[in-house]
Amino acid sequence: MFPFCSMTIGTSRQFGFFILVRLLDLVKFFLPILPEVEFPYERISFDERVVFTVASGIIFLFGQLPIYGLVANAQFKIIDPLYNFRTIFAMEKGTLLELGLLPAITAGFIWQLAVGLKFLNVNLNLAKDRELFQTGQKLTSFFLSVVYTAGLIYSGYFDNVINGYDVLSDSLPLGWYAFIFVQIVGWSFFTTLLIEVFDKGYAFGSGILCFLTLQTATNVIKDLVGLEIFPLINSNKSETYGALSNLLKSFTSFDLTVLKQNIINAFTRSQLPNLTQFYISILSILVVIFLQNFRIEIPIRSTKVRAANNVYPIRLLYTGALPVLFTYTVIINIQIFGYFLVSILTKYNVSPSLVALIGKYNVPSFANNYQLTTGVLFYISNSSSIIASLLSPIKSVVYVAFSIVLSTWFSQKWCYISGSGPKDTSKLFKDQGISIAGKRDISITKELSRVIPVAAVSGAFSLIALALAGEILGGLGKGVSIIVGVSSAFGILEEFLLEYQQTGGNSQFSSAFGGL
Amino acid sequence: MAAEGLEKFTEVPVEFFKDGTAFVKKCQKPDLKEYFKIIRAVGVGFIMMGVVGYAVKLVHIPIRYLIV
Repeated sequence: MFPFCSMTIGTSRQFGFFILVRLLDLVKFFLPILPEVEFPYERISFDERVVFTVASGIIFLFGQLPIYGLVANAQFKIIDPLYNFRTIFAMEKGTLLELGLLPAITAGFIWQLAVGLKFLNVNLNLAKDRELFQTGQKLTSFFLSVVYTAGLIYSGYFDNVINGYDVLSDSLPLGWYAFIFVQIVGWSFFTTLLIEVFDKGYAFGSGILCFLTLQTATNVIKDLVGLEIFPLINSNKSETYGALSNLLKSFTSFDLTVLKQNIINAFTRSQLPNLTQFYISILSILVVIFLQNFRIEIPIRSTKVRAANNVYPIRLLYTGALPVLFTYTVIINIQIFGYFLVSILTKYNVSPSLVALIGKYNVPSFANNYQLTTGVLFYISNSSSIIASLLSPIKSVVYVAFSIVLSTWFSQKWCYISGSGPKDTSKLFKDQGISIAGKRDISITKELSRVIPVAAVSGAFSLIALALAGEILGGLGKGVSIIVGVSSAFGILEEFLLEYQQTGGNSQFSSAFGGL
Repeated sequence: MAAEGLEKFTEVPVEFFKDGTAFVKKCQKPDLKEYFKIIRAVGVGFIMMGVVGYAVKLVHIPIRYLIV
């Protein structure tokens, strides 16, 4: 099968071939050491897939245990430079999931784009190449998690929460640093393996998207009815985490003025989830579901069976939520590396005015966050409320323009990369003996390329517009994570139903829950 | 030359908006009945996932006290 590569003639192609050999050979070297999920020996039954999906999800959620070696309730004491994007990537402060899905998502996009933009020459039809490609992704994800963790530790992110360490008097707690490093990197690698369980066909949907959906759903429920009681920063009060449970609790007071104050507080509190955010989330969910069902139905007919007419739907959200996810992956990577750069430069005593060009952080009194006040990083960050976005209009415009350009560019590229572009779809049509009604076989590609790229780009545009509307209102990444979560839920649901229909309802679960 | 470049620069978004709106107009939109059916299906799935997820998170609370 391999002559496919060596047959490519011409200098530029040979150069590409050279890169393929070199890079993939590098990966090959790691192949025996890296643990790997084996492909299933036989078809995984419906029931088993359900079990795999649920179990992996629960293991994933267990990653939110606190890191050993930090003080209790560390998540309130860490001063956080990434607070406005972490929900999108399931990054939980002060826990084993400190990096969440960020390394895996970044590595995935890097490799897919490298192949799609022809930096790398991989033939994904070959099993060997596919394996190397996946191993390469895993390796990159591992490498990235090492870089992120080392950066966080170096920049002093954990310094004020390490058990029994005083920033001012003690020498550097290198032992604790190493211990924290091992925990975060180890769990991050384990998460990558969990994702592989999904991608090798043991469970439903893509691993990353499934975990994001699970995380989003959990957060929506937690924000609404969360029962934990948390102390407020810089005050002696403590409140219930969930917005609704907090409101209900305030009804126990019979004093009318206090009650009124509590109801207003339920809509406006800024440290814990409030009801306004919840309504924004619900609205985003409804709009995404509405947009998801926009489609153009192309009439098709079979070339083999007479009078077998049908429709082939092309969705407005042709590329799903991937362009939105990609946009925020780029933004958060710029933010995180910017933060590392700022802290490195500060440690080497570069003049503050020069560092401020990149970014300047400020800790407000009401929250433990590093808020950007100026610099390049400031212009591509979101705002914490609508007032903040109106107060700095240039920043809002730059941020919106940057996100829209990035996401539409990606969607346009993606529909060719991902193997669902016009050419691939027309090939699929040909293989299955389908043709567009009233069109000749040759013009299928032409017809499809009139529809598919337009669908992809306008779909990406409408989703990012929805995401940005939430961001401008002060969603702090919540709206984005909901958009990604809900539209990925569709993919999982579709695969689930398809599989369910194929088993013909012959499942232990359906007979157990059939009475419901 | 500069004007030409600028024209090209503005042409792409304008073209894109024209194509996009035409596409959205041509799209088949879900009717109310279909919409509610989908909302129910997705909503039930979403809430179920959320409740299970949150239950797992609640298990964390005693473990946190044991560890830290």
